[in-house]
Amino acid sequence: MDITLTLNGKQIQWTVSASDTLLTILRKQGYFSVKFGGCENGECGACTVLFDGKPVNSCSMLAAQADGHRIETVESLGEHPLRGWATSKGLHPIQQAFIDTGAVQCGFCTPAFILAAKALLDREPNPTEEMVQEAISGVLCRCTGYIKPVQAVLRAAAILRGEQVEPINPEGLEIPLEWMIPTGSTVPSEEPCGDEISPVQTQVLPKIWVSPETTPYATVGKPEQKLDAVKLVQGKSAFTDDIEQRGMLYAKVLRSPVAHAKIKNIDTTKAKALPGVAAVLTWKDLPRVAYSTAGQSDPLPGPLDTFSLDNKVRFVGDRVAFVAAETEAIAENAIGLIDVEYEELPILLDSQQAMNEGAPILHDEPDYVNFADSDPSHNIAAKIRIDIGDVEQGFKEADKIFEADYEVPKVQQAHIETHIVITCWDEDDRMVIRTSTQVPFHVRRILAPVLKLPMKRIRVIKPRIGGGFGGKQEVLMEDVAAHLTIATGRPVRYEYTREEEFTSARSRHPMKFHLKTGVKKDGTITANEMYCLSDTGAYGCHALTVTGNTGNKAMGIYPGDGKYRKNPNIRFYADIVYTNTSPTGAFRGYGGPQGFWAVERHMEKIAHDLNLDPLDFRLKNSIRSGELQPFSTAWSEGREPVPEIINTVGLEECVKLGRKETCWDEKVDNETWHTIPGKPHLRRGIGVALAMHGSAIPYLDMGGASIKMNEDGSFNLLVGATDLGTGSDTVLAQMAAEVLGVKLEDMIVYSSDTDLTPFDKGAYASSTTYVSGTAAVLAAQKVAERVKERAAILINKKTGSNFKAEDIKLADRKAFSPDGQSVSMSEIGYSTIHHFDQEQIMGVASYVSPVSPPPFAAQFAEITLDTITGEVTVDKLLMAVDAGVIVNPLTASGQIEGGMSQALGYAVSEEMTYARDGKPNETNLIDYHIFRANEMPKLTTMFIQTYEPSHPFGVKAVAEIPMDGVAPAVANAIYNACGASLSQNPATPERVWDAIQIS
Amino acid sequence: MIIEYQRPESLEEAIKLLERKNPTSLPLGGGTVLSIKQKKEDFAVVDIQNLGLNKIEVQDNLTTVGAACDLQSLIESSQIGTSLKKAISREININMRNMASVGGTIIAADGCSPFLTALSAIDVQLFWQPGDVETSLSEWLPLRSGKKPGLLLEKIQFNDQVKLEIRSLGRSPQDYPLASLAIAKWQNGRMRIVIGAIRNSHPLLAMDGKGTQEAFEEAKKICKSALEGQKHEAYLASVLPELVRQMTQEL
Repeated sequence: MDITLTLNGKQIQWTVSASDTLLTILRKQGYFSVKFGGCENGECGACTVLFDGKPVNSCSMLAAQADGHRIETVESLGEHPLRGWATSKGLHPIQQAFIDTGAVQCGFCTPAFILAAKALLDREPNPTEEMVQEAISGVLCRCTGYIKPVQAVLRAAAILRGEQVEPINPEGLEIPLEWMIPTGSTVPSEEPCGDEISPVQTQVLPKIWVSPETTPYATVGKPEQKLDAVKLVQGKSAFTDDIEQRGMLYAKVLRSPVAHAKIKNIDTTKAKALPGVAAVLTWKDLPRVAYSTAGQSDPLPGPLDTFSLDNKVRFVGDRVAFVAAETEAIAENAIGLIDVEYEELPILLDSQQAMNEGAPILHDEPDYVNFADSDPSHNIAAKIRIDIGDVEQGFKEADKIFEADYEVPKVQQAHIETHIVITCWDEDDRMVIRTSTQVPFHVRRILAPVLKLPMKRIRVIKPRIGGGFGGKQEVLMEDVAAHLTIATGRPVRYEYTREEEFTSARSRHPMKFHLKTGVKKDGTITANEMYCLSDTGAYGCHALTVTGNTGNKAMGIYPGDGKYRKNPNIRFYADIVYTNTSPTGAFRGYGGPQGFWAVERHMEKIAHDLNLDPLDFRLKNSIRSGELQPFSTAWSEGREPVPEIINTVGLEECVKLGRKETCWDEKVDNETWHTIPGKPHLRRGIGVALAMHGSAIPYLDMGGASIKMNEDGSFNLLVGATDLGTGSDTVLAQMAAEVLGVKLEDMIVYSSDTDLTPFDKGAYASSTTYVSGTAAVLAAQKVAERVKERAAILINKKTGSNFKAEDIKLADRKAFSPDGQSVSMSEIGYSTIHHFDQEQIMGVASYVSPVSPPPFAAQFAEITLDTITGEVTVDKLLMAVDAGVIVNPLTASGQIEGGMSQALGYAVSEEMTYARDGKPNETNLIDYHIFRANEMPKLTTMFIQTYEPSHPFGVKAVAEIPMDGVAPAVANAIYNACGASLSQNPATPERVWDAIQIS
Repeated sequence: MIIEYQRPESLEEAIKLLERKNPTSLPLGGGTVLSIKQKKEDFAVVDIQNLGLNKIEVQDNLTTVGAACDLQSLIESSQIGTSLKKAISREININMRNMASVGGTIIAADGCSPFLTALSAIDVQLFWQPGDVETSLSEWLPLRSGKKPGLLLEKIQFNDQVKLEIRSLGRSPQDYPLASLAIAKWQNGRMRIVIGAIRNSHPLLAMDGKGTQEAFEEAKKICKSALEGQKHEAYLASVLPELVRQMTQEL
């Protein structure tokens, strides 16, 4: 049928079929700004378009419904200000405001936000913050925590009303002076204690307590705009799916409906006979190669227990067969035509039963490859036994022993862009894998044996990633498309549905804990013991390392006080077991959120029992600068541990400032504050949790960068690191630009492509700014050396001087001699490339860190609790973070805000559960609830800078630590409100109500 | 899959199209609940957007809402009360409210739906075509999975003088509720209590009578019987009657 619509102001006529959604047609026609989040119920809103001026989800609307209507996509708004000889209308004020305020992270949902904002501002030019939150609440964002998008819309509204707004850029708004408090001084008493609303222009920037060691830099430390933001606000075709390949096939995977079974028989005859089907693959068709999907460095610290396709299924959603067809619909139909005869086996869902004699064994295959203590005959994927000091002696020295059990659930990363890959043979018959991955180099290495291809015959391209959060630190589905490309010779596209994300992707390990802590009357911890039973699901990806991190971070933070500081007594034992549930893996925080739930709930209970101030008790026992990270003597991700002294610990300052900012002392024991007049069923509470994370994996993971100078004085920075939306491309470029003395806009960043960019382990373990950033700095230093050599020659030629390279300083796009003479970068570039003694100035560097300096944080939460229903409303979250020197306050605070929002879900709403037959109960973003813009608490970020000497600019990591403290802080606030003590998160109404009944 | 799309210009034309058996023809409101992929059989859709069924009219204390009216229009209407708006905003996100029709939501919403629970409490009447058949929503809901009183739900009608209180229980302020509770009170003292707590069913009428004293007991009774064996049984069976007590006091 033909439809006529007005699209972005132009009348368009298209021929569509009755079943085509508006989304399908728009993307087919090249409107790639309209994204698909894999959902079927319109939950995510990434596909937002304006329909007669109103935001709607184009995935849930037929194209035919749009006939006769006005449709707008973000392509209709602005354009890049530089269009060559053509006049550019520039970006739309909303687009520009999103860039200015740092509202763009991964950018996948940005066009949707911008359209929703436009719809609002077209009808309401002067909206309130609440109106904005409501207007954009149809769009889910997993990156930002919504603060900056809301501020962007308010800023755009002001601009569109013709008002003057303060610029938010490096030349304009500096970090407010009143926030620059020298280390050691106290917080000024006039600091507001409460809810004063800051002006729009400053709400996007965090409060920063600047380290006195920090040198003022030209670009490092400035809220620079993200380099990739301009393309993302325009919805450019930056993501994996934003290309069209000729002759491309669509893949679908037949998933197991049962939790544990042998495949007795599989008949693909009918499926293969379906017109349009190009290939159907089963376990019989593929080479049997044991591998691990965990995207980690070689050798993989875990068992090899996975096969592309196997004759056994181990969870509901496990792979049974692959199909490639001309259309998705045909592939879907073909899946339904495959006959499978399953011989069902007893199922194992409870991790506590996994090691019992007679428990169903998941991995009885003979080609299972053990790693360290994995023991598939007892369903053990990994095992950890760490004893530091003499724990039993420590318990003897205690006045009181505290023991308790805790539990955390399985949760999903829920990045809005689902997993997606497109594979093809290139003209040289090399396998090209275009994939939304955090670990392109690990994809290449891990898939080579699986595909029976030499590694050099594989090229992995990582385009823009629509969020990852660890979910894409997995070689999860690239093999499906690659096998089908091998089978058909044609390009193949495979995209996870939202349901598959829940049934068949990775998730965070659920864990059960037993904690035993010895404490003296004065609050000194004498010994601390944790047993952790971790559930890795059906496969052991990240089994060892996630759980190792649980102990490393959550137990490492509290060595104890007095003599125990030098000789802590810590025991961490863990068993990581298989169950017939979807496999777990990496999820931002990587074991930390689980461990801190248990430890921080436990610390709270001990403090209350001993009648000690919970903050003072924690600080008394927490690690301090110059002390040994206790776990560094015993743990290192499957490698030999190397003892590590912690140089910088800003924990005390974090607590001090957070305490002040939250008015902790006026609230915590104040009955008047706890109650709400006229509402006796409501109680307020305030809680805290401390956290420690890491910066990279020492002695193991490497980052690499190369920099090439162009004749106009610009530089190409090629990094293997993968910007998930965190802003790491920008942050790395800021550091390189600082070294080279140029503006950020002179850096052209490309990441990443295994053929073009240097090796980088990828984006995980909070390592990009620290490890890849150091590599970028080292590469920049190499380039700077050559630039200075050339500059000295040029200046000497010009002036007859005799300067040496070491006399030259680079700044303001120029090279300066000590007497003030200068040559521009462009002059240097032209002379080296075209004019004399030509050379290509380039620098390549890599970096492996010998340490993993931890960032620290104090996480505060305020809640209101309904004592009748058990409902918890989180009112405020404040995180005071020591992440070293902050390279970019906009992107760094975006990390904290987004991380706290994800952690908020872990605190109150997110949980993956299974029915008795192993079927997952939550398979969409309605049952699995992540927060929307119109229900967010107030989020505050404070950076307390320390200067980490192991990094060229003093930085530590920032990406994962916000995941650690929110859930226990919320639970501690519930405890503070009414005495209800939770041992399990999330704090659902039912769970809290149960706890209230007990209390 | 959808094999045919029709957009009739009149109610009569729509009914004719819907009467067809081959292909099976279904009304299309906003399309949000038309789970295309789950429909394995071929069928046609009859889009009702041009039938003028998107109006909100108030006359003699009676509010009439066309079945094609989208949920966001109700929220933006000055003729709709705050509590009903609250129920709608909890039902579904704003983008979907711009698409979802009143009729489609009534046909497809589940047993915890705040909108359906609220409508049921205020004793909404449904009007079906052909035949202008009038049914009470709460009487029709238990029969929802069977044959409908007409081919097309044309409009709904309710008394706008009824006081309504709605509560939804959830994990966060905008979470799709694990239970909804609505209490409506008429000027003559009539009180209706509806509990939406069973996802794969429909909101349940707990009481249609007078007197706040009975409300708690009636709510307790229906929770005990209806929630047996359901998810969150013990929790909801305790909490919902307490909420009834609290809400009736507030009313």
